[in-house]
Amino acid sequence: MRNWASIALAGALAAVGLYGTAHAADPIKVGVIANLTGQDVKTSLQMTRGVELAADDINAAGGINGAPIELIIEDSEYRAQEALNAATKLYDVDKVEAAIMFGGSSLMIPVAQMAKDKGKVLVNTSSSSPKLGDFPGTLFSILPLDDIVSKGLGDMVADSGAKKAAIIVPNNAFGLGIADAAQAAFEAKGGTVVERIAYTEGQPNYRADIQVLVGKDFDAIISGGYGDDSRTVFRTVRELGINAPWYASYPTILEVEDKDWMSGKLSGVDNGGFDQGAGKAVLEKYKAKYKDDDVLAHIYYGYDALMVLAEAMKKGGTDAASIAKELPGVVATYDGATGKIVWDDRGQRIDPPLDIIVFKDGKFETTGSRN
Amino acid sequence: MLQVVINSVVYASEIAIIAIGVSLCYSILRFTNFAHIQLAIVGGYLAYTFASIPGLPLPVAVLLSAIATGLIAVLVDVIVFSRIRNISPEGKMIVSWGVALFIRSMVAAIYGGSAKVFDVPTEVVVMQGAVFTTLDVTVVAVTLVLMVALHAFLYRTRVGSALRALASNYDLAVTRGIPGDRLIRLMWFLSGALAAVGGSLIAMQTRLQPSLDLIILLPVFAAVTIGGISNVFGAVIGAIVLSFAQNLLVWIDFGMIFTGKPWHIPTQFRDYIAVLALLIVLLMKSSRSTGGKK
Amino acid sequence: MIDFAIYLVTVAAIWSVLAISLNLQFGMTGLVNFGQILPFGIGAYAAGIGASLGYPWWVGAIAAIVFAPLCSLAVVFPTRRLSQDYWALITLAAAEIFRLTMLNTPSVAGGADGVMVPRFGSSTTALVVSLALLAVSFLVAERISRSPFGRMLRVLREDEVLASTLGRNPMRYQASVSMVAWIMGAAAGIAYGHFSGYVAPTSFTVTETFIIWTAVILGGPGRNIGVICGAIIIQVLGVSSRFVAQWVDLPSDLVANLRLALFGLLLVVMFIYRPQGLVPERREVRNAARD
Repeated sequence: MRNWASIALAGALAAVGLYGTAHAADPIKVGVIANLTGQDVKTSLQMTRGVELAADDINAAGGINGAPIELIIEDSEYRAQEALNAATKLYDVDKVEAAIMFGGSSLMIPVAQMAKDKGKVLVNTSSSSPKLGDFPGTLFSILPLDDIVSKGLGDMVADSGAKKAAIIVPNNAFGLGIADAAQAAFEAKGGTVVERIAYTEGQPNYRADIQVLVGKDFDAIISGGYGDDSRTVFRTVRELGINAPWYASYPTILEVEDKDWMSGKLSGVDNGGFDQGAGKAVLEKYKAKYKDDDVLAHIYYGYDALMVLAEAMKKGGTDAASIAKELPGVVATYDGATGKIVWDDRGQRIDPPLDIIVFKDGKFETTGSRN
Repeated sequence: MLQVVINSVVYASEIAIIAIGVSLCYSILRFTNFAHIQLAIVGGYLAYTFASIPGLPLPVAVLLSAIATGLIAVLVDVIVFSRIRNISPEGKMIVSWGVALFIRSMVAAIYGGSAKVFDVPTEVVVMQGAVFTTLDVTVVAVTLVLMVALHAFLYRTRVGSALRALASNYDLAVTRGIPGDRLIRLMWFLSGALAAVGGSLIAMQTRLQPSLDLIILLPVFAAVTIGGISNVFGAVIGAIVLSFAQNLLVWIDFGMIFTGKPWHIPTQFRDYIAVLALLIVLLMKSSRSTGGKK
Repeated sequence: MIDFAIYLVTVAAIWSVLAISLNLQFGMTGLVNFGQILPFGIGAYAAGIGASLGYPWWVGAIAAIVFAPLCSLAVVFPTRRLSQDYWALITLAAAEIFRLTMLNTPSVAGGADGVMVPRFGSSTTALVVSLALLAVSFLVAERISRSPFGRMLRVLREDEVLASTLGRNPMRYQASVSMVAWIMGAAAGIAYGHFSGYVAPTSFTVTETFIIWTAVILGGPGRNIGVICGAIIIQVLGVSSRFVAQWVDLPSDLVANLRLALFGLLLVVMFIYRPQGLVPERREVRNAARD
C-alpha cells in the first residue's frame, strides 16, 4: 500500500544523493532564478540568456582567477512558493553564494528575505518595487527602482505641453508604481489626469477597460507595460480610434503592435546606455548565439548582473559576505551594457542614465537624455 | 451604448464556442473537463502552424486544425479518460487538470513559452460612433453559424438525438441499443473541433500563449455555470449574460447618476463582476431548487 | 543540506495540514470544496494585516481563527441545497473573490505588492511549529473520524436522505465540520505567513487549490494518513524533478517545460493505475445498537 510512496521517496533521495557526489568543487556556482514557464516567459528567458552570454565571456577570459563559472538555472513558474523552493535548493543544496533573479516583486521579496536570513546575495534584474530597498547588504539591483524613471516620465509629459492625460498601466506592482510616480510628477507641474486605467494582466480582451476613454478629452497617454498585454492594449486603443501620443516608462520592453500606426506616437524614458560600446557587443553576441532578432533590454540587465558579480568575486572572494562588500566598489567603476551604474547605500540603483527614446519607422531610437 | 453592445457580443462569442464544449462533455460524461480549454489553445497553435504553409488559405487552416484537434481529443479519451470511467467525478477533474498541464507544457516545449501573434489583416469600421473590426464580424458570424449547425445536428439528426439521449440518461439509452462508446468518441471529436475553432478565433483576436487556458478559465466556467452546467446552449446564454454584465457595469457612469461627478467602476474589478455574476446566479438557483445534493 | 531538508519538511507539514482540512470536508463528509485555499489565505493575510497595523502576532492569529469559521458558515448556509458540482464552483468563486479583493485593494494589504510578515526566529522554530500543527490537526481529525460524529459524517457523504431519516440534521453536521476544517486551514495559513515572511495574492490561486486536491485524491480520500502521504508525494515530485532537470543538458526553458509535463503525466498515470488512492479507506461494519 505504501509502495508508491516509498519508491518515490527513495527515488528522490537517490537522485539527490547521486547529485551531491557527482560534482567536484572546482567551478564556481552561481544561481539563476527565472520564470521559464508560466507568465512572461520571454523577458525572463532573455535575462537568462544575457547571464549565459556573460558566463561565456568570463570563462573565455579565464574565469574567476582560473575557476570557471557554472550557472545553475531554476524555474520559478512565476509562483512564490516555487521561487522559494528554487532559492532553497540553490542556496542550501547547490551551495551557491549568490543568485541572479528575475521575477515580480511578489516573488523577489520573499526570496530576498530568505537570502538575508541565510547570509547570501541576491541580484535583482527585474523588479522595481520600492520595498526592495529594505534589504541592504543582501539585495542589489541592476534595475533602477521605477519611482525615479517614472518621475522623469511625468516631467517629460508635462514639459511636452500636455495638460490632460490618461494613464494606462497593468494592475500590478510594476504598473501601479509607474502610475503613481508619473502622476505625481505630472500633477506637480500642473497637469490633470482624466482617467486611470489599471488593466488586469493576461486578459485576451481589453475593450471593456479602454472603452471608457472613447470620447474623452486628453492630450497624452502615460503608460508602462510589457509583453503580450501591451500589444493587446495598443491594438485595442488603435481599434477604438484613440490617437493621442503615448509616453511610457521603459518603452523598449513594450510590444508594438502596428508599427506604422505607432511611428512617432510613442516616446518615453528608459534606462540608458544600451547603445554604447558594451551594449552593442552584447547584442552582436546574442544574435550570433541564439539566432534570434527579437531582443529586449533584459539581456543587458542579465549580462551586467553576472559581470559585476564576477568582478566582485575576483576582487574579494567567492563567499557571500565578500561579494556583498565588494559589489558597491565594483559597480562604481563598471561601465556596462546598461551604462554606468550608481548605487545608493542600500544597493539600489539611483541616477540611472535616462535616455529619451522615440519609436520611429519600426524601431526605437534614442534621441536625447534627461538629467 | 452601441459600443458596449458590440464589445459584449464579440467577447461573448469568443467565450461561447469554448463553453459549449465544456457543457457537451459534462452533459454526457458528468465531469468538468479542464483539459478542454487547453485543447482550444492547441487548436489555435495548429491553425497557426497550418496557416504558415504558403498558399494555404486561413479558413482551410482552421478547418484542418479543427479536424486534428478533434482527433487529439478522441486520442486523449482513448488513452486516459476511457480508463477511468468509474472513478469519482472529482478524480476525473483532477485527471483532466493533469492532462491540461501535460498538454500545456508540451505545447510550450514545442512552440516556446513566449506568445506568438497570429497575424490576420483586419480593417476598422466606424458606425454611428461605435468602433469594431472586420475580424469582430467574422468571430460573431462564425459563432452564429456554428450554433445553428450544432443545433440542427443535435435536434434534427438521428445521431444528434442519440447524443441527447445519452446526455439525459446514459444507462437507459445504452439499454435501448444506443452505442454509448462510439457516440462518446463522436462527442469528443465534436467538442475538440469546436474548441479548436474557438481557440483559433481567440488567438486571432489576441495572441497565442500556452497558458492562455488558465486566463480564460474563469469566464468560460462562469458562462457554463450561469447557463446551467449540462445545458449545451445554456452555455451560450451564460456567455452573453456574463459578457454584458462585465461590459455594462464597467461602462455605466455611476458617479453621474448618484453624485453628479463622473465615476466608473475601475476596470480591474471586471473579474469581480464575472465571479459575482456567477455567485448570484448560483444562489438564485439554490433558492429555487427543491432537491438535495446529487 | 540539512537546511534544505528542514525547509522541505516544514513546507510538507503545512500542506499536509491543508490536505487534512480538505479531507475532513471532502473525504469524510463529501463536501466538494474547491476553495480550501480561502481559509488558508485568510490565515496568511490576517497575519500580514495584523503585522502591518503593528499588532503582536497573536492578534492576527486570533482574528483569523475567529473569522475563518464564520466565513465557512457564510459559504455553507446559502448553498446547502445546491448539487455538488455547483457547490464546487461556488467555493472556487469565493476563493477567487478573496484573491481579487486582496489584489485590488492596496490599502488593505498591499494589493499586488503584498505585505510582509515577521518571520519565525529560525528555520527550526518554523519546523517545530509546523510539525506541532500537523500533529494537532491529525489528532483532531482522527478523533473526529473515529467518533460517532465522524460515522454520521460518512453516512452523510454516502446518502444525505438516510442521514435525515436517522433524525439528524445534515446542515448542523456540515456546518460543524466546515468550521473545524476552516479553522485548520486558517492555522496553516498563519504558519505559512510567518514561515515565508511575505504574503501576496499570487500564492492563492486556483493552481494551489488543485495541489491540495491532488494530495487528497492521490493519498486516498477519507484516510488522514493517506492524505499526508499525498501531500508528501506532491512535494517530493515537485522538488525531485528539479534535480532530474539539472542532469539533462538541454536549453533551460525546454527543460522547465518538460519538468512540468512530467508532473502532469505522473498525475494522470497515478490515477489510471491506482484510482482509489494510496491508502484506501477501509470498509467498517458497526452495529448501531452497541454504540
